[in-house]
Amino acid sequence: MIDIGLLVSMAVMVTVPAVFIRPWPPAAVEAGVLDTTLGALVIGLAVGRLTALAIDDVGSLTNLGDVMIIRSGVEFWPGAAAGLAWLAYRAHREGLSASVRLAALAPAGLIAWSCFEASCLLRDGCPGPVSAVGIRPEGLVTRMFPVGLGVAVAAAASAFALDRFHRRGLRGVYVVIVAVMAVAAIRSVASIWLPRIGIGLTRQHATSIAVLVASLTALIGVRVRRDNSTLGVEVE
Amino acid sequence: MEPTTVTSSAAPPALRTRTKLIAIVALAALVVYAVTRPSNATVFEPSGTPRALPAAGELTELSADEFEGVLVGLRGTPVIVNIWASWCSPCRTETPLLQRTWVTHGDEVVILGVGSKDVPSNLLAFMKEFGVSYPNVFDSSGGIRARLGLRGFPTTYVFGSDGKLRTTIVGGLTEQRLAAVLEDLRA
Repeated sequence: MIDIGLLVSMAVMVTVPAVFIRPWPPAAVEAGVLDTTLGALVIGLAVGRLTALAIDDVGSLTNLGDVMIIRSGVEFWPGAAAGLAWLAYRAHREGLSASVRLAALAPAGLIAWSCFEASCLLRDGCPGPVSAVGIRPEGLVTRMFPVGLGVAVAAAASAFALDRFHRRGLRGVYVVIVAVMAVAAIRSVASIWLPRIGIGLTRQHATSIAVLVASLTALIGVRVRRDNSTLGVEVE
Repeated sequence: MEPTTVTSSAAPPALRTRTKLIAIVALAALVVYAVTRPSNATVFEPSGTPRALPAAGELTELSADEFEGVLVGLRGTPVIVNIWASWCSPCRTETPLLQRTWVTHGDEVVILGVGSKDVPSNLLAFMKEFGVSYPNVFDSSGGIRARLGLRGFPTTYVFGSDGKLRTTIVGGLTEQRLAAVLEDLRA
Protein backbone atom coordinates (compact mmCIF):
# COMPACT_ATOMS: atom_id res chain seq x y z
CA MET A 1 0.00 0.00 0.00
CA ILE A 2 1.51 3.30 -1.11
CA ASP A 3 1.01 6.38 1.00
CA ILE A 4 0.11 8.90 -1.72
CA GLY A 5 0.28 11.86 0.65
CA LEU A 6 3.81 10.99 1.73
CA LEU A 7 4.85 10.32 -1.87
CA VAL A 8 3.60 13.73 -3.00
CA SER A 9 5.26 15.39 0.00
CA MET A 10 8.58 13.87 -1.03
CA ALA A 11 8.07 14.96 -4.64
CA VAL A 12 7.30 18.53 -3.55
CA MET A 13 10.28 18.52 -1.18
CA VAL A 14 12.69 17.44 -3.91
CA THR A 15 11.29 19.35 -6.88
CA VAL A 16 10.67 22.84 -5.51
CA PRO A 17 14.26 23.58 -4.33
CA ALA A 18 15.72 21.88 -7.39
CA VAL A 19 13.67 24.00 -9.77
CA PHE A 20 13.41 27.34 -8.00
CA ILE A 21 16.47 27.80 -5.76
CA ARG A 22 19.67 29.28 -7.16
CA PRO A 23 22.54 28.42 -4.80
CA TRP A 24 25.13 31.03 -4.07
CA PRO A 25 27.96 30.99 -5.06
CA PRO A 26 26.86 29.04 -8.15
CA ALA A 27 30.30 27.44 -8.53
CA ALA A 28 29.79 25.61 -5.23
CA VAL A 29 26.92 23.59 -6.70
CA GLU A 30 27.94 23.21 -10.33
CA ALA A 31 26.02 19.98 -10.87
CA GLY A 32 22.76 21.58 -9.70
CA VAL A 33 20.83 21.18 -6.45
CA LEU A 34 19.17 17.87 -7.31
CA ASP A 35 22.26 16.02 -8.52
CA THR A 36 24.34 17.32 -5.64
CA THR A 37 21.85 16.43 -2.91
CA LEU A 38 20.26 13.20 -4.14
CA GLY A 39 22.88 10.98 -2.51
CA ALA A 40 22.57 12.88 0.75
CA LEU A 41 18.79 12.49 0.66
CA VAL A 42 18.98 8.73 0.19
CA ILE A 43 21.65 8.30 2.86
CA GLY A 44 19.78 10.59 5.26
CA LEU A 45 16.56 8.63 4.82
CA ALA A 46 18.38 5.32 5.32
CA VAL A 47 20.23 6.43 8.45
CA GLY A 48 17.12 8.11 9.88
CA ARG A 49 15.06 5.00 9.26
CA LEU A 50 17.63 2.61 10.73
CA THR A 51 17.99 4.84 13.80
CA ALA A 52 14.22 4.91 14.30
CA LEU A 53 14.11 1.12 14.15
CA ALA A 54 17.10 0.76 16.47
CA ILE A 55 15.32 2.94 19.04
CA ASP A 56 11.75 1.65 18.65
CA ASP A 57 12.06 -1.95 17.60
CA VAL A 58 15.57 -3.28 17.18
CA GLY A 59 14.27 -6.70 16.08
CA SER A 60 12.96 -5.13 12.84
CA LEU A 61 16.50 -4.29 11.69
CA THR A 62 16.95 -7.85 10.41
CA ASN A 63 13.88 -7.66 8.16
CA LEU A 64 14.32 -5.69 4.93
CA GLY A 65 10.55 -5.37 4.49
CA ASP A 66 10.26 -3.70 7.89
CA VAL A 67 13.17 -1.38 7.15
CA MET A 68 11.67 -0.27 3.83
CA ILE A 69 8.36 0.90 5.28
CA ILE A 70 9.42 4.49 5.74
CA ARG A 71 5.98 5.70 6.89
CA SER A 72 6.42 4.07 10.25
CA GLY A 73 9.16 6.48 11.25
CA VAL A 74 12.40 8.27 10.33
CA GLU A 75 14.53 9.97 12.97
CA PHE A 76 15.11 13.55 11.80
CA TRP A 77 18.43 14.57 13.33
CA PRO A 78 20.47 11.40 12.70
CA GLY A 79 19.21 11.49 9.11
CA ALA A 80 20.08 15.18 8.74
CA ALA A 81 23.54 14.61 10.24
CA ALA A 82 24.21 11.74 7.85
CA GLY A 83 23.07 13.80 4.87
CA LEU A 84 25.26 16.75 5.88
CA ALA A 85 28.24 14.44 6.45
CA TRP A 86 27.76 12.95 2.98
CA LEU A 87 27.60 16.40 1.37
CA ALA A 88 30.75 17.46 3.25
CA TYR A 89 32.55 14.29 2.17
CA ARG A 90 31.57 14.78 -1.48
CA ALA A 91 32.72 18.42 -1.36
CA HIS A 92 36.05 17.35 0.11
CA ARG A 93 36.46 14.74 -2.66
CA GLU A 94 35.84 17.47 -5.24
CA GLY A 95 38.43 19.75 -3.63
CA LEU A 96 35.85 22.20 -2.35
CA SER A 97 35.49 23.55 1.17
CA ALA A 98 32.69 21.69 2.96
CA SER A 99 31.38 24.90 4.53
CA VAL A 100 31.22 26.62 1.13
CA ARG A 101 29.21 23.71 -0.37
CA LEU A 102 26.94 23.36 2.67
CA ALA A 103 26.35 27.11 2.92
CA ALA A 104 25.40 27.25 -0.76
CA LEU A 105 22.88 24.46 -0.19
CA ALA A 106 21.54 25.64 3.18
CA PRO A 107 18.68 27.80 1.77
CA ALA A 108 17.67 24.97 -0.57
CA GLY A 109 17.67 22.57 2.38
CA LEU A 110 15.49 24.90 4.43
CA ILE A 111 13.09 25.35 1.52
CA ALA A 112 12.95 21.56 1.07
CA TRP A 113 12.05 21.14 4.73
CA SER A 114 9.52 23.96 4.45
CA CYS A 115 7.87 22.21 1.49
CA PHE A 116 7.73 18.90 3.36
CA GLU A 117 6.10 20.54 6.37
CA ALA A 118 3.64 22.56 4.25
CA SER A 119 2.54 19.39 2.48
CA CYS A 120 1.28 18.04 5.82
CA LEU A 121 -2.02 19.18 4.33
CA LEU A 122 -1.75 16.21 1.96
CA ARG A 123 -0.65 13.70 4.63
CA ASP A 124 -2.45 14.13 7.91
CA GLY A 125 -4.14 17.53 7.73
CA CYS A 126 -1.60 19.36 9.91
CA PRO A 127 -2.86 18.66 13.44
CA GLY A 128 -2.10 21.11 16.23
CA PRO A 129 -3.69 22.62 19.30
CA VAL A 130 -7.47 23.04 19.25
CA SER A 131 -8.13 26.58 18.05
CA ALA A 132 -10.96 28.64 16.62
CA VAL A 133 -8.45 29.85 14.02
CA GLY A 134 -7.37 26.80 12.12
CA ILE A 135 -8.32 23.98 9.83
CA ARG A 136 -10.03 20.64 10.32
CA PRO A 137 -7.55 17.79 9.82
CA GLU A 138 -8.97 15.01 7.63
CA GLY A 139 -11.62 13.01 9.43
CA LEU A 140 -11.80 15.28 12.47
CA VAL A 141 -14.57 17.69 13.40
CA THR A 142 -12.41 19.96 15.57
CA ARG A 143 -10.52 22.95 14.18
CA MET A 144 -6.82 22.88 14.98
CA PHE A 145 -4.07 25.41 14.45
CA PRO A 146 -1.90 23.99 11.64
CA VAL A 147 1.50 23.82 13.32
CA GLY A 148 3.04 22.26 10.18
CA LEU A 149 2.13 25.31 8.12
CA GLY A 150 3.61 27.59 10.77
CA VAL A 151 6.83 25.57 10.66
CA ALA A 152 6.85 25.85 6.87
CA VAL A 153 6.54 29.63 6.97
CA ALA A 154 9.30 29.94 9.60
CA ALA A 155 11.62 27.65 7.62
CA ALA A 156 11.04 29.55 4.38
CA ALA A 157 11.63 32.89 6.12
CA SER A 158 14.88 31.53 7.58
CA ALA A 159 15.97 30.37 4.12
CA PHE A 160 15.40 33.76 2.53
CA ALA A 161 17.09 35.62 5.41
CA LEU A 162 20.13 33.32 5.39
CA ASP A 163 20.45 33.53 1.62
CA ARG A 164 20.32 37.32 1.80
CA PHE A 165 22.97 37.48 4.55
CA HIS A 166 25.17 34.98 2.73
CA ARG A 167 25.09 37.01 -0.47
CA ARG A 168 25.99 40.09 1.57
CA GLY A 169 29.11 38.45 2.93
CA LEU A 170 28.20 36.27 5.91
CA ARG A 171 30.81 33.54 6.06
CA GLY A 172 29.83 30.05 5.00
CA VAL A 173 30.57 28.41 8.33
CA TYR A 174 28.19 30.82 10.07
CA VAL A 175 25.51 30.22 7.44
CA VAL A 176 25.68 26.47 8.05
CA ILE A 177 25.59 26.73 11.84
CA VAL A 178 22.80 29.31 11.85
CA ALA A 179 20.78 27.14 9.44
CA VAL A 180 21.07 24.18 11.83
CA MET A 181 20.18 26.46 14.74
CA ALA A 182 17.13 27.74 12.89
CA VAL A 183 15.85 24.23 12.22
CA ALA A 184 16.48 23.17 15.83
CA ALA A 185 14.77 26.28 17.20
CA ILE A 186 11.75 25.93 14.93
CA ARG A 187 11.35 22.24 15.76
CA SER A 188 11.73 22.96 19.48
CA VAL A 189 9.05 25.65 19.46
CA ALA A 190 6.73 23.61 17.23
CA SER A 191 7.05 20.64 19.60
CA ILE A 192 5.37 22.67 22.34
CA TRP A 193 2.17 22.87 20.28
CA LEU A 194 2.17 19.54 18.47
CA PRO A 195 -0.38 17.11 19.89
CA ARG A 196 1.21 14.34 21.98
CA ILE A 197 0.20 11.50 24.23
CA GLY A 198 0.99 11.79 27.90
CA ILE A 199 3.27 14.36 29.47
CA GLY A 200 6.99 15.13 29.17
CA LEU A 201 9.17 16.07 26.24
CA THR A 202 8.74 14.18 22.99
CA ARG A 203 11.84 12.76 21.29
CA GLN A 204 11.59 15.49 18.64
CA HIS A 205 11.53 18.16 21.33
CA ALA A 206 14.42 16.77 23.40
CA THR A 207 16.72 16.14 20.43
CA SER A 208 15.97 19.55 18.92
CA ILE A 209 16.85 21.30 22.16
CA ALA A 210 20.09 19.30 22.32
CA VAL A 211 20.98 20.25 18.73
CA LEU A 212 20.10 23.89 19.42
CA VAL A 213 22.47 23.97 22.40
CA ALA A 214 25.21 22.14 20.45
CA SER A 215 24.95 24.47 17.44
CA LEU A 216 24.94 27.55 19.66
CA THR A 217 28.10 26.22 21.34
CA ALA A 218 29.65 25.63 17.93
CA LEU A 219 28.77 29.15 16.82
CA ILE A 220 30.40 30.64 19.91
CA GLY A 221 33.42 28.35 19.45
CA VAL A 222 33.94 29.42 15.84
CA ARG A 223 33.55 33.06 16.78
CA VAL A 224 36.03 32.81 19.66
CA ARG A 225 38.52 30.91 17.51
CA ARG A 226 38.29 33.58 14.85
CA ASP A 227 38.78 36.37 17.38
CA ASN A 228 41.83 34.62 18.82
CA SER A 229 43.37 34.03 15.44
CA THR A 230 46.49 36.19 15.24
CA LEU A 231 47.32 35.12 11.71
CA GLY A 232 44.01 36.20 10.21
CA VAL A 233 43.55 32.75 8.70
CA GLU A 234 40.09 32.21 7.32
CA VAL A 235 38.07 29.68 9.24
CA GLU A 236 36.62 28.25 6.06
CA MET B 1 30.82 39.14 -37.89
CA GLU B 2 29.84 38.79 -34.28
CA PRO B 3 31.06 35.60 -32.54
CA THR B 4 28.37 33.13 -31.51
CA THR B 5 27.63 33.28 -27.81
CA VAL B 6 28.12 29.94 -26.07
CA THR B 7 26.75 29.41 -22.58
CA SER B 8 29.05 27.74 -20.10
CA SER B 9 26.14 25.95 -18.45
CA ALA B 10 25.93 22.17 -18.93
CA ALA B 11 22.39 22.41 -20.24
CA PRO B 12 21.19 25.06 -22.72
CA PRO B 13 18.74 27.59 -21.25
CA ALA B 14 15.83 26.41 -23.42
CA LEU B 15 16.20 22.85 -22.17
CA ARG B 16 16.47 24.02 -18.61
CA THR B 17 13.27 26.02 -18.99
CA ARG B 18 11.49 23.04 -20.55
CA THR B 19 12.69 20.75 -17.77
CA LYS B 20 11.45 23.21 -15.18
CA LEU B 21 8.09 23.40 -16.91
CA ILE B 22 7.74 19.61 -17.00
CA ALA B 23 8.69 19.38 -13.34
CA ILE B 24 6.17 22.05 -12.36
CA VAL B 25 3.35 20.46 -14.38
CA ALA B 26 4.13 16.98 -12.99
CA LEU B 27 4.22 18.34 -9.47
CA ALA B 28 0.97 20.24 -9.93
CA ALA B 29 -0.69 17.07 -11.28
CA LEU B 30 0.53 15.07 -8.28
CA VAL B 31 -0.73 17.67 -5.83
CA VAL B 32 -4.12 17.87 -7.56
CA TYR B 33 -4.39 14.06 -7.42
CA ALA B 34 -3.43 13.98 -3.75
CA VAL B 35 -5.98 16.67 -2.90
CA THR B 36 -8.84 15.15 -4.91
CA ARG B 37 -8.18 11.46 -4.23
CA PRO B 38 -11.04 9.51 -2.66
CA SER B 39 -11.34 9.77 1.10
CA ASN B 40 -10.59 6.79 3.36
CA ALA B 41 -13.94 7.33 5.02
CA THR B 42 -15.91 4.15 5.63
CA VAL B 43 -19.62 4.19 6.32
CA PHE B 44 -20.28 1.80 9.19
CA GLU B 45 -22.61 1.91 12.15
CA PRO B 46 -22.58 -1.10 14.45
CA SER B 47 -25.85 -2.77 15.33
CA GLY B 48 -27.04 -5.92 17.06
CA THR B 49 -27.26 -7.28 20.57
CA PRO B 50 -25.00 -5.56 23.09
CA ARG B 51 -22.15 -7.71 24.33
CA ALA B 52 -19.60 -7.24 27.10
CA LEU B 53 -16.10 -6.04 26.28
CA PRO B 54 -13.67 -9.00 26.37
CA ALA B 55 -11.20 -9.07 29.25
CA ALA B 56 -8.05 -7.01 28.77
CA GLY B 57 -4.82 -8.89 28.08
CA GLU B 58 -6.62 -11.87 26.50
CA LEU B 59 -7.35 -12.73 22.88
CA THR B 60 -11.04 -13.62 22.57
CA GLU B 61 -12.23 -15.10 19.29
CA LEU B 62 -15.24 -13.21 17.93
CA SER B 63 -17.43 -13.32 14.86
CA ALA B 64 -18.29 -10.11 13.01
CA ASP B 65 -21.75 -10.02 14.61
CA GLU B 66 -20.29 -10.51 18.10
CA PHE B 67 -17.76 -7.77 17.40
CA GLU B 68 -20.55 -5.39 16.42
CA GLY B 69 -22.31 -6.35 19.65
CA VAL B 70 -19.23 -5.30 21.63
CA LEU B 71 -19.28 -1.90 19.92
CA VAL B 72 -22.99 -1.51 20.61
CA GLY B 73 -22.33 -2.37 24.25
CA LEU B 74 -19.69 0.36 24.43
CA ARG B 75 -22.01 3.16 23.27
CA GLY B 76 -21.50 6.20 25.43
CA THR B 77 -17.71 5.83 25.33
CA PRO B 78 -15.43 6.63 22.39
CA VAL B 79 -13.75 3.50 20.97
CA ILE B 80 -10.54 3.23 18.94
CA VAL B 81 -10.51 -0.06 17.02
CA ASN B 82 -7.09 -1.06 15.71
CA ILE B 83 -6.79 -3.93 13.24
CA TRP B 84 -3.34 -5.45 13.38
CA ALA B 85 -1.21 -8.54 12.76
CA SER B 86 2.10 -9.74 14.16
CA TRP B 87 3.76 -9.63 10.70
CA CYS B 88 2.79 -6.00 10.09
CA SER B 89 5.73 -3.62 10.45
CA PRO B 90 3.85 -0.36 11.19
CA CYS B 91 1.90 -2.30 13.85
CA ARG B 92 5.14 -2.69 15.77
CA THR B 93 5.58 1.09 15.80
CA GLU B 94 2.01 2.02 16.67
CA THR B 95 1.32 -0.64 19.32
CA PRO B 96 3.46 1.13 21.98
CA LEU B 97 1.55 4.34 21.17
CA LEU B 98 -1.80 2.59 21.63
CA GLN B 99 -0.59 1.02 24.87
CA ARG B 100 0.54 4.44 26.13
CA THR B 101 -2.85 5.88 25.17
CA TRP B 102 -4.60 3.06 27.07
CA VAL B 103 -2.50 3.75 30.16
CA THR B 104 -2.89 7.54 30.08
CA HIS B 105 -6.39 7.95 28.61
CA GLY B 106 -8.04 4.60 29.33
CA ASP B 107 -10.60 6.31 31.55
CA GLU B 108 -12.00 8.34 28.65
CA VAL B 109 -11.55 6.11 25.61
CA VAL B 110 -11.54 2.35 24.97
CA ILE B 111 -8.80 0.86 22.82
CA LEU B 112 -9.91 -2.38 21.18
CA GLY B 113 -7.37 -4.38 19.18
CA VAL B 114 -8.47 -6.80 16.47
CA GLY B 115 -5.81 -9.37 15.57
CA SER B 116 -6.53 -10.59 12.06
CA LYS B 117 -5.01 -12.59 9.18
CA ASP B 118 -2.67 -14.26 11.64
CA VAL B 119 -2.46 -17.21 14.04
CA PRO B 120 -3.33 -16.82 17.73
CA SER B 121 0.08 -17.96 18.98
CA ASN B 122 1.85 -15.22 16.99
CA LEU B 123 -0.69 -12.62 18.08
CA LEU B 124 -0.31 -13.58 21.74
CA ALA B 125 3.50 -13.51 21.46
CA PHE B 126 3.26 -10.02 19.92
CA MET B 127 1.00 -8.83 22.74
CA LYS B 128 3.40 -10.22 25.31
CA GLU B 129 6.42 -8.63 23.58
CA PHE B 130 4.82 -5.17 23.67
CA GLY B 131 3.14 -5.56 27.06
CA VAL B 132 -0.31 -4.97 25.57
CA SER B 133 -2.89 -4.59 28.33
CA TYR B 134 -5.85 -3.23 26.37
CA PRO B 135 -8.64 -5.55 25.19
CA ASN B 136 -8.01 -7.56 22.05
CA VAL B 137 -10.13 -9.92 19.97
CA PHE B 138 -9.20 -12.50 17.34
CA ASP B 139 -10.79 -12.22 13.91
CA SER B 140 -10.35 -15.89 12.95
CA SER B 141 -12.66 -15.89 9.92
CA GLY B 142 -11.72 -12.46 8.57
CA GLY B 143 -15.35 -11.43 9.02
CA ILE B 144 -14.55 -8.40 11.17
CA ARG B 145 -12.07 -6.92 8.72
CA ALA B 146 -14.50 -7.57 5.85
CA ARG B 147 -17.35 -5.91 7.76
CA LEU B 148 -15.20 -2.84 8.39
CA GLY B 149 -14.05 -2.71 4.75
CA LEU B 150 -10.36 -3.08 5.61
CA ARG B 151 -7.99 -2.04 2.82
CA GLY B 152 -4.62 -2.61 4.46
CA PHE B 153 -2.77 -3.39 7.68
CA PRO B 154 -2.88 -1.67 10.06
CA THR B 155 -6.09 0.34 9.99
CA THR B 156 -7.59 2.25 12.89
CA TYR B 157 -11.29 3.05 13.17
CA VAL B 158 -12.41 5.77 15.58
CA PHE B 159 -15.95 5.58 16.92
CA GLY B 160 -17.51 8.49 18.77
CA SER B 161 -19.46 8.08 21.98
CA ASP B 162 -22.63 8.03 19.84
CA GLY B 163 -21.40 4.75 18.35
CA LYS B 164 -20.88 6.18 14.88
CA LEU B 165 -17.66 5.79 12.93
CA ARG B 166 -15.92 9.18 12.82
CA THR B 167 -12.51 8.53 11.32
CA THR B 168 -10.64 5.80 9.48
CA ILE B 169 -6.85 5.91 9.51
CA VAL B 170 -5.28 3.56 6.98
CA GLY B 171 -1.63 2.76 7.71
CA GLY B 172 0.55 3.33 10.75
CA LEU B 173 -0.49 5.82 13.40
CA THR B 174 1.79 8.65 14.38
CA GLU B 175 1.75 10.12 17.87
CA GLN B 176 0.52 13.46 16.49
CA ARG B 177 -2.31 11.87 14.57
CA LEU B 178 -3.43 9.73 17.50
CA ALA B 179 -3.20 12.67 19.93
CA ALA B 180 -5.22 14.81 17.50
CA VAL B 181 -7.88 12.09 17.37
CA LEU B 182 -8.05 12.08 21.18
CA GLU B 183 -8.42 15.87 21.23
CA ASP B 184 -11.18 15.57 18.65
CA LEU B 185 -13.02 12.93 20.70
CA ARG B 186 -12.93 15.22 23.74
CA ALA B 187 -14.47 18.12 21.77
